[in-house]
Formats: sequence, structure tokens, C-alpha cells
Amino acid sequence: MAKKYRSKSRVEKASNTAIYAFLIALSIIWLFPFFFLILQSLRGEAGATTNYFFPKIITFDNYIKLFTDTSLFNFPKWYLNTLIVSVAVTVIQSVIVLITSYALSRLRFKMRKPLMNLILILGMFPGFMSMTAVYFVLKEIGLTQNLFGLILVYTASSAMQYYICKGYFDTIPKSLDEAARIDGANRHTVFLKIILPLAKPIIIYGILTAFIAPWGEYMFSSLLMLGDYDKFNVALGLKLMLHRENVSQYFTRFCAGAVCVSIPITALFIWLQKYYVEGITGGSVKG
Amino acid sequence: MVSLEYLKMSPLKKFLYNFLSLIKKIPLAIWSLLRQIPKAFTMLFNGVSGVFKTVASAAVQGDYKTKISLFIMGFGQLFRGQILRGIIYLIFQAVFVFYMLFFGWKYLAKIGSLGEVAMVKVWDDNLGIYTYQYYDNSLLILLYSLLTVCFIIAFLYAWYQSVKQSYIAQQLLELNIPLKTAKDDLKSYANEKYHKTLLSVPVLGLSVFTIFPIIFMVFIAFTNYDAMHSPPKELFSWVGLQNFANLLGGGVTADAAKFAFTFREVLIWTVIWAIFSTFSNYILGMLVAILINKKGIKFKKLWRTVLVFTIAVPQFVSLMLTSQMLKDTGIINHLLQSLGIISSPLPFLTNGVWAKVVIIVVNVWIGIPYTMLICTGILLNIPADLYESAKIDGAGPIRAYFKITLPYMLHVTAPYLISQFIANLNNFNVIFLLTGGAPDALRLQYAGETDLLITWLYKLTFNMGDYKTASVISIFTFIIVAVISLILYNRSNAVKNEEIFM
Amino acid sequence: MKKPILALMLCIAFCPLSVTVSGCSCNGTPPSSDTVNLTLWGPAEHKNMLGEMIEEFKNLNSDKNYQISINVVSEADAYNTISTDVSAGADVYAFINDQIINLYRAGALAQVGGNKLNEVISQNDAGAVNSAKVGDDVYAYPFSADNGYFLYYDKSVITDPTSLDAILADCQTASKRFVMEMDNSWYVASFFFGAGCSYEVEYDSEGGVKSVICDFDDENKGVKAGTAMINVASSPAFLNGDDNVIKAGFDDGSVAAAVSGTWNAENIKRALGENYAAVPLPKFTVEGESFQMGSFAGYKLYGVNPTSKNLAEAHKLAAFLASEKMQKKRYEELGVGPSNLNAAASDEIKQNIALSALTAQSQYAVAQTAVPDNYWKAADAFGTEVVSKAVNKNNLLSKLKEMAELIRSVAIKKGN
Repeated sequence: MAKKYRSKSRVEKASNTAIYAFLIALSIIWLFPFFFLILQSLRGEAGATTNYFFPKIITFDNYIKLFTDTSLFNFPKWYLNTLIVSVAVTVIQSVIVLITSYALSRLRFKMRKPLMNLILILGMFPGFMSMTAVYFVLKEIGLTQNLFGLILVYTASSAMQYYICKGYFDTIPKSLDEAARIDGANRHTVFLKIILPLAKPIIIYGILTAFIAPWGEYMFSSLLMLGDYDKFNVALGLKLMLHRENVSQYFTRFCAGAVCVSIPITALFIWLQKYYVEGITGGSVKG
Repeated sequence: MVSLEYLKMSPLKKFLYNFLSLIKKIPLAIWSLLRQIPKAFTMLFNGVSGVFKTVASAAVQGDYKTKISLFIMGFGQLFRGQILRGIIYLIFQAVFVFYMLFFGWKYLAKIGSLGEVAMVKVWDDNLGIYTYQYYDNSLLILLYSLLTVCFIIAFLYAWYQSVKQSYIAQQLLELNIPLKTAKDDLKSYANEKYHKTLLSVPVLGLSVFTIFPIIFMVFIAFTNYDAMHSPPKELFSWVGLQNFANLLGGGVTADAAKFAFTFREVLIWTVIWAIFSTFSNYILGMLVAILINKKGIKFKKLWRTVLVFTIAVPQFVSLMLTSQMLKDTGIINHLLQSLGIISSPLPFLTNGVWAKVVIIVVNVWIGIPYTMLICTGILLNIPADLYESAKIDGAGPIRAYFKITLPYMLHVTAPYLISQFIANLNNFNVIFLLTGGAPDALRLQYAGETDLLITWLYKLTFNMGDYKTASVISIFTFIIVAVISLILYNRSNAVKNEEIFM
Repeated sequence: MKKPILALMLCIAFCPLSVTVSGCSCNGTPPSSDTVNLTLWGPAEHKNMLGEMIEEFKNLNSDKNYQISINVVSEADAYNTISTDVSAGADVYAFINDQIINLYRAGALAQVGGNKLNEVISQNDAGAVNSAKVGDDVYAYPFSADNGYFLYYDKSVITDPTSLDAILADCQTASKRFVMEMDNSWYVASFFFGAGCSYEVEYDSEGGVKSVICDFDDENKGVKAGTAMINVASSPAFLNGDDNVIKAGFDDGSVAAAVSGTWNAENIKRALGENYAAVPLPKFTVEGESFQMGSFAGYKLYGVNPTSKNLAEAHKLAAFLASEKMQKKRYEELGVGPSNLNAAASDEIKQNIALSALTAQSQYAVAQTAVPDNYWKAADAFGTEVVSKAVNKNNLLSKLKEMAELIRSVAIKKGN
């Protein structure tokens, strides 16, 4: 008896050690590129590629130049632009996603299933094909080469992100709704006073995903701004730095810029990780 | 097959049986899909005839107020005490008439020809330059005509509603039932009609910025809008189904044949990519989730946070970074060479086959955190007593995995898997930022070895200006994706009903 | 009761569109005041210099009040940026001549006529003027003729820069590399032109392709060129890389010779110091025969947007920016080789090693007139496959045929 017990724990210890080793290796692989990114952003020598891993000269020059040398790459302005767009999009998109998900989850009306199917189907069209049409629609409203136009386009289709949020709402028991309605509340009150307070994880999930999105969008903003340099957003600007003619001089600055973009988002993400996980698991389970 | 016989079969035979029955179900699924189409038409027909019936009866049996509503919208409402509604209808009618007179008619009239003269170049001696006068712009004609048609449809619908309501109101009054006041209306928007209140803005945004452009794009597929026919300098015109014929290889020239060949090749890779990327992420993500979740592993939160980095850092940064790192002269090749593991650079992104594998691997790097998080959440929900009873019955960890964990996970995340598969079919970012579709291949026209349908589309649109072909390909892609997803969703629903679970 | 409100909302959405649009006219009316607003697009490196040039322009034309704003759009991106909406594009923009046919088809180029046309033709070199033409008409103002390539090498390593085989041998002995961007269609042409192949595209007056002559798959000449490429690619001294690889390679001394253009001159001069040398491309040898490598000669031009609201002024600005004085200035400040005959004949430029190499190479160069996209794609793919060894002596002819078919296929597309 005792022998069996001991060997079992040894097996378990061995397997645990193996798992630890695997996880450590995994973490190294996972973080390696970001480590490389940070090192490159601190590299003093010019050039796009180097033959060695650790930079010979460590300097913060790239960061400083990123924010001060704005003649060719106006990074601070772009950062500010993207920040403005992100905040606006976060607010508007979160609201739209919440109300759409609630309507599709809780309310019953004739067009509910067709609407969900429609949104599903709309998602299958390649986004950039509609860019030309959207551009001309915006042109008539007069919002081309304009940050508001960008915000409008990003948020207009927010309803298509209802999937996970709706799934989350589905997991909230309907008995709560019914109890409130018996007490005389109309649906509006139910939404505001009962459902929303319970939806904290998914609200935070929505805010997080909405905030992150504009930082990486380069296609439509390049179309909309049509070369109007000052109105670029960060993703587009950084991509420019990687163009053939620029990359040898600006690669390290690209890395610095990438770090500047990644750090706030990553920090935000890790801080709110708990809610993100709750939201995503709650929301995608039922589907 | 009877369940007992099924249970007696070896695992291999079971797998074969399931697989074959799945294949057999596909034609059935397609057939049932096709049967829906006449059903949809019947519904449409019934709807339209219903409209005609109502209007006809209103016109014949309506009182004078209803009859005048046929011409002046809102008349019936105004004179029956529903002032707010009446005014809204009136304003709407005025706006519509104003719009059509000053704007809509101009463009709608040209919809057939899409313009006569686009641009005229005239030498101006005074200024010493050629001056340009612009007239018809085919693109704008198409766009605004569509807009006008949408507006007309909306207007007709509102008109119909106005007449119908007036008629119904008339009938209600005859039965001495009081009509709803504006106050009642507003109240109902917070209650029975709350879905209207909530969904109005989102659906509006969707209609204008998603649905309308898609309709526009579908119409482009029937024109010859490409680099040679590009407004404002040139007109384009309707060509009917010619673009579709070209794509399917109907064109006689060798050029068209190559194009059709390219389409098939790219399609095959797109499907392979979607399958591999979805399943590699799923299975590996589940594996990592299980490992982290195992009893006895400490610092669970730390491991998860590390992995979550690739979600937190914007995808575009990660992808551009990796594409630089994996170049022939990039840091990974340098490291491997300096460590002496290889002597010449590995063609991560320059060899067709390598590039395909590398893309899937990089996609795993980016995508596992998502699947891991989802699986973790679900794993935590599996009742522990299932595992305990399995242990008591003498099952080892591997058997427990295959018999308990895997089926539970598959059942719960089936919809997620399907939606991921569909999303991966159109996964533009990963391919575009990582390889740009490279390496270029002679056998493919304008496409590279790693191009998906969607990135090929992008190249056609933006680099070649070949909008018409891009539209046609979009439509085909859409049809293929829609059919696959509809079949998968139906099957998963069927699975949900059939499976004897728990 | 419920649905009409939705319908109402839909219509109200389209309302603002209609109301604003009904008051809109598509072609701008000339401004009444004396202020002339112009937008100019140029690459990032030129931004400061363009600012100075604009000041000079304003001083010379002080009778009107010019408000000229500069936006950074690189010469290679001009077509992609302007093509979506030409009427929202800049009034004057810089572009590389390989985009001219695309820009023309998109309606983004205004024809040059009258006095300005005479000036362009008489003052710039013939190749530059040809590159500005679509059919027989000139559509842009050339300002630079230095978009070609030649050979840079390290004098201390390379003994005979006129033979490609010797270069490769020298590099191998010294454990250094010879770098060429062989998977880039622009450079691929050097082998084929060198072997005597021809590639000509004829356009009709609407910018459509009338005919394509391409004999890259010729069993004699084409095969020789392809064989040479395969031989070079399999040499251990050869490295396929772009300008960044070249720059880094000269910097750290691992590269002794490379094919590149004047844009890299400063970098390479700095890296090699006294050992800096630039000459026309070498000869390659196949089956005992020697062929001089050819090249593409490219140009940069200023285009005028025909939808500009101040078309005459835009032409004035473009002509000014492309004038002899400004081309000289561009050379002095940024080392950009001019296309103006007088400017190019100056002593300064004659002493510039890189530019002299370019001029000497230009006698073997084929003027890069409007080259359709499918050439670039096809030759890119061919070069890529040579580098990745997917092309070898056995399948060379069939691969050449594939490439040539792709190149020739554009002629069939017209008239749709």
C-alpha cells in the first residue's frame, strides 16, 4: 500500500515537472518576439536588420526622436488622433453592442431570428470591398479626411459584434426579468436597473475590445485620409515606417512606436483580464 | 444501425461510420437549403399580395379621410386626432418629394446607360493649358441611383403604412374603440416596442454603412468597372453576367483559363488554411488550458497572463514584427546560424510550402490565448464528480480526457468552432501582414502562394483597380462561406438534438 | 403602428445625404478672390526642400496670394493614394514613371500643352520626355532621371568589375557577398535585356494596350538569360537582398559588390570610404558568350490633377518645380539626378561617381515607359522562383514560357 502511494506521487511529481518545463518553454517562445521588440527599440545603431541579437549601443534615442522629430513622422499627433478615435469608439460601440445584444437576447419580436441571420451573413462579405462605397457616402456628408468620419464608420457596424455579449446575457436567468416585470417595471427599467448591473464583466469586455480595435486599423484610415498626413492614425503611420525606402532608417523607431502603442493596451488588458475572461467564457459558451 | 451494434464496433469503425454519415448528410443538407428558396419566394409573394389587398380595400372601402391618405400621407391621422403621427408622415412626404425633384431623379434617369459623356478636354489658349470639364460620373450615378431606389422603397413602405393605418383607424372608430394617443405611443416604446427603440440606431448604422455598400458592390459585379473604365475620366456600363462567365473559365482566352485556375488554387488553400488554423488553435489551446488547470500546477495566473500577451499587444504589431523576424536576413535565421544549427537561412517566408506552415504556426502563437481562455472557463465548469467517479472506476487521465473532457468541450464550443472557421476563411490580417500573400508564383495570376481569396481580392482591387472581378470573387466567396456555415450550423443543431449527453 | 417609425428612421437617415447633395455641384467654380489654394504631394525626404521651393515660387509670383500645403505621399504611393478619389487628391504630386499608365487611366493626369509642352520637350533628356508620354501626348513634367541602377563595388576586393563571373569569384575568395535583388522584376530585366530580348508595349490614345512584344521565352536569348540567372543564384557568393540588406552589408563589410541605384550612393560612399566605386553593370557569360547587362531607366515626374480647381496655377507650380533651376537645387540638396539637359551637363554632376555610372549605364538601359502591372507580377514571380531554386535548367524553358504568357496576356484584356 505505502509503496503504491509513494510511486504514484513520484509519477505525479515527474509529470508536474514535465509540465512546468513545457510551460516555461512556452512562455519563453511566447514572449521572445516582444523581448526582441523592446531590445530593438533601444538599439542605437541604424539599419533594419542586424546580425546579432543584443544591440551594441543601448539608447533611449529612438523614443525621444519618436516624439520630437515630427517633421517626417508625426507620431505624437497620430497617437493623439488614435486616442481620440479610440475613446469615442469605445463609448459609442459599447453602448450599441449592449443595446443590440440585450434586444436580441431578451426581447422577442418577429424579425429577431432574421436579423441575427442577416448579421451573420453580412459578416461574410470582405470588409474592404465596401470601402469605396462608404468613402463616397462619407464624401457627401462631408466627412472625408476627417476623424469624425473615421469614428462614424468604425461605430456604424458595431451591431455586428453582438455575438459574445448576447451569449453572456443569455446566461442571466430570465426569472429575474419576470420578477421585475411582475412588480410593474417596463422593459426599459429592467434593462437599466436589473440587467446592466449584472453585466459588469461583459461591459468591461466590450469596452476593452472596442478600445483596442482602432489602434490596429490601417486600411480604411489610409483610404479616408487620402494622404492628409496630420490625420493619420498610429497603425497607418507605423506601417509607413516599414516601407522599403524608410525601413533601414526607421526600423528602430518603428519598434519604439510599437512599444508605445502596446504598453498601455497590454497594461489595460492585464488589469482587466479577469473580466475579459469572464465575459468571453460566459458569452461564447452558449453561442 | 442499432445502438448496441454501434457500441460494439471498434473505435476506428465508429469513426469511419460517423464520417461517412456526415458525408452522406451533406447533399441532404444542401437539398434542404435549396428547398428553403421556393419557401422564401412564396412568403415574399404572399407579403406583396397582402399589401395590394390592403391598399385595394382601403381605396374602395375607406372613407374620405382614408382615400385622401392615398395622396397626402398622414391626412387620415391628422384628422382623426393623431396629430403627431400625421405631422411626421407629412414632413416625410415633403422631404421625399423635395429630394426626388432636386436630386434623385437626375441620377435615376441615367441608371440604364450609366452616363453618356464623362469628360471633355478642351484646349484653352488664354490659359495655355488643356481644361477639363466633367459630366457624368458612372460611379456616382450607380451609387446615388441605388440610394434613391432605397429611398423610394422606404417611401412606398411608409405610404403603405399610412394608408393601412388610416383604414384600420377608421375601422376601429366604427367599432367605437378609441385610438392610441401620442402619449400611449411613447410609453409603448419603453415597453412592448422597446426592441424598436433599442435597435433603431444600430440597424440604421448597419443599413447605411454595411448593407448599402454591399448591395452597391454586388451591382458592380455586373458592370465593367475596372482600371480601363474608371470615372471620372471614363464611363463604365452594364455587362450582365460576363464577369461571372470569365471567372468560371467560360472565357475563351488563355488568360481567362489561368484566372479560373488561380481561383481554384486559391480557394483550395483558403479552405485548407481555415481547417488547419481553426483546429490547431483549438486543440493546442485546449491542451495548454488543461495543463495549466491541472491540480498541482502553481502560478496558474502567471502562465495565463504570459500567454495572454499576444491578445493584448495589437495584432498588427505582432504580425509586422514576426514578418521582419522571419525574413531570410531576419533575426531568427541569424540566431540559428550563429548557434550553428543551420548553415544557410531557412526560407521561412520565401518558399511556398514553408510559408504555409509558418503562417499556421504564427497563427497558433496569436490565437491560442483566446481558445485557452475559453477552454479554461469551460473546464472550470465541468463538474468534478464526473472525474472522481471515473477515477473510482479505474480510468487513467488519458481515458478521462477522451471520454469526459473532450466530448463536453466539443459540445459546448461547437458554435464557437464554427464561427472561428468562418472567420478564418476571411482572415485578412494574418496573411496580409505576415507574408503579403508572397511568395509570388508563376502559375498563379496576380496571386502568391499564401494568398487567401480575400487577400487576392485586395490585390485585385487596390493594385490592379479591377473592381468588377473583385466583386465577382467576393460574391463567390460569400456564397461558398454562406453555404458552408449554414450547413455546419444546421448540422450542429442536429447534433445537439441527437446526442445523448450527460 | 410600429414599423413605420423604423421606415421613417431609415428615410431620415438618407435625408441629410439628399439635402446636402442637392445643393452640390460636381465641378468646382473658379474662386472669386485672389487666393489660390494648392496641395502638393511629395516624399518625406523632400518635404523641407519643397517648402523652400514653394517660398521661391511665391516670391516669383507675388501677384497672386498662393496658399500651398504639402502632404507627405511617397512617389511610389502616388497612384494608390489618389486612385480612389481623384477629385480629392492633390493638385500637383510626384510619382515614378511606372505608374503613368495607371494614373492616366484613373484620370489623374492633365495633359501638358502649349509653351509648357515645348519647354518640357526641349529642356529634358529624350528618355525622360518619353516616359512622360501616353501615346504621343505628354502628361507630366519630368524632374529626375536617376531612377536606374548600376554596380557599386569595393575597390579593395573586386579586381575586374566588368565581368560578373570575376566579381563572384573575387567575392568568394574574400568570403564576401554580391547582392542583387533578383526576386524583383525591375532587376530581372537586366539579364533579359542584356541577352538581347525585347519588351515593348504599345498604347492607344485611350491608354489601352494595343500590343505587347515580349520574347523573354525565346529559346535562344531568353534561355541564355535564364541560365545566367540560375548560375548566379547558385553561386555561394550570391545573396538575394533588397536595399536594406545592401546597406547593412556594406556597413558591416560583408558585402563587396551590389546592384543598386543613386538613392544608396551616400550610404555606400560612407561605408566604403576610399574604396568606393560605381560603374555600369558588368557583363555576364553564358556558353562562352558575353552579354552586357541591361537595365531599366526610370524617371520621376510631377503630375497635375485635371480635377484641380486651379488648373492653370497647378500647371505653373508643376512646371516651376521641374524647371532647370529647381532640378539643380534638388541635386545640391538631396543628390537627385536631374533630367534637365543643362543641369545634367554641369561639372558637379559629371564628377558625381554614382551619377556618372548611371549615365554610362543608360546607354544599355531600356527606358521604362508605362509598364503594365502584369509585367511586374510575372517577372517578380520568375525571379522569386529562380532564387528559391524552383527554376532549374530542366524546367527553364517552360517557366520562361509561363512568364512570357503572363506578360503578353495584357493585350487581350482591352476592348472589354
